[in-house]
Amino acid sequence: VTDRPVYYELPGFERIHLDCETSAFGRVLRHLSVDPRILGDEWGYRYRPDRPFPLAAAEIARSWPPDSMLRWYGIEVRTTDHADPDAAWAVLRELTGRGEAVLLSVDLYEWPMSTFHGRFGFPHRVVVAECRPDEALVLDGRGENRHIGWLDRALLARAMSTPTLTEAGERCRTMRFTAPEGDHDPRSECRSALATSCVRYFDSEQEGWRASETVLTRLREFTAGKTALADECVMPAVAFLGGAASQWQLSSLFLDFAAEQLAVDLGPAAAGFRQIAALWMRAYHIFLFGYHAGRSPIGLLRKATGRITELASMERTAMELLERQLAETGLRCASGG
Amino acid sequence: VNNGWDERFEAMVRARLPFLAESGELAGDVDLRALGLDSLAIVELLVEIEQTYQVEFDDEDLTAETFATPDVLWTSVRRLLEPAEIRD
Repeated sequence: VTDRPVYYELPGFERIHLDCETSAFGRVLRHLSVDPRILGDEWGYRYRPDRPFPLAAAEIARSWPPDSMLRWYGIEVRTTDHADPDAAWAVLRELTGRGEAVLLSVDLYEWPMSTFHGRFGFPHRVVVAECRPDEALVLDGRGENRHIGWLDRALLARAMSTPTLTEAGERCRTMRFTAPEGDHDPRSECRSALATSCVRYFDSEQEGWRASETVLTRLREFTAGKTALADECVMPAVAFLGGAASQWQLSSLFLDFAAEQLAVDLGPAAAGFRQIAALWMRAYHIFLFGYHAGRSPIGLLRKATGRITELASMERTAMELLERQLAETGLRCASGG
Repeated sequence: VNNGWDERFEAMVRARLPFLAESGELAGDVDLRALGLDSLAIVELLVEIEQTYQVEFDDEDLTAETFATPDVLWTSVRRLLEPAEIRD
């Protein structure tokens, strides 16, 4: 079975495993024999002032994968919320029996491979590639942290029907995908994505570097004088730090993809993105491992703030380099920054 | 004692390497991730090492790189143990 594209690993993600969204949708894209690097076609941050926890207010800017899949490849996503796990199971068996790869929402609270198993509820997405009468072949995550193996139907039933998933509107949810179709011009999409991401990063008040500055100010205020971090902030912090690593890495691969499509050299900018991704991953591990080892979460967050400050500066430098490279290749975006 | 580390360390690391044969040697430079040391196992190993040796890793060492090979990990543990030994 290992010659099926759904099992292929995306180069560059050996050490960076978050986030589950791009990981799972990326596997589906490989299964459909199209390039998953398009999932990195947007980067930076969107500031969400309505969210009280600063790291939740810093939403990582990325396209919702089904939107990207439709725009780039004409792939349609069909989402179904089943009445119960038995109904979801019947559909999983039917679709995988036809050779389809299906996305399934599960809850980390009931997911034994997660470090948050039995601790926190959090929606998570995996790919189901095959089914037997009472077990499914599940592909979870990527790189060295991936878990590919047969899981018991009863475990899946518990994991897909928790109160957390009900609250998130993802209880017993499956997603299936149509085949790629239509005449899509990747070069035009690449030009558009590069220009849009640059403009947003430099010019938007609520995105890019200004969003970083605002979030950092809020983060410093949030951590000052606090002696504890509420439990409900831990998962968003972990998800943000790991998600940032994943998105910058994915965006570095997108720059490689765009460079191939447009026959230009974006190598130095892509290398800068990769360096940033590695440092986000380091910040993620220090927080994750430190939390599980019993360190003070608020202390970890305070220290993370210093690292994020340095990263924000590096990100701006890398984006300025990208903008110069785009200008040199005649692809300069309309930014005034 | 093997490769400079003690038996407790060897047992703790081995217990979290599903892809290392039971009779296989735990080489100092082996890639622990390739032998199955995932994030969950790193967390367990980190907690057990801190409890067993009564040490606390510096925050800056709480990274995947610290758990890359037995040699790298043991070097970090030894560094934490040294002050106590010097005092003894």
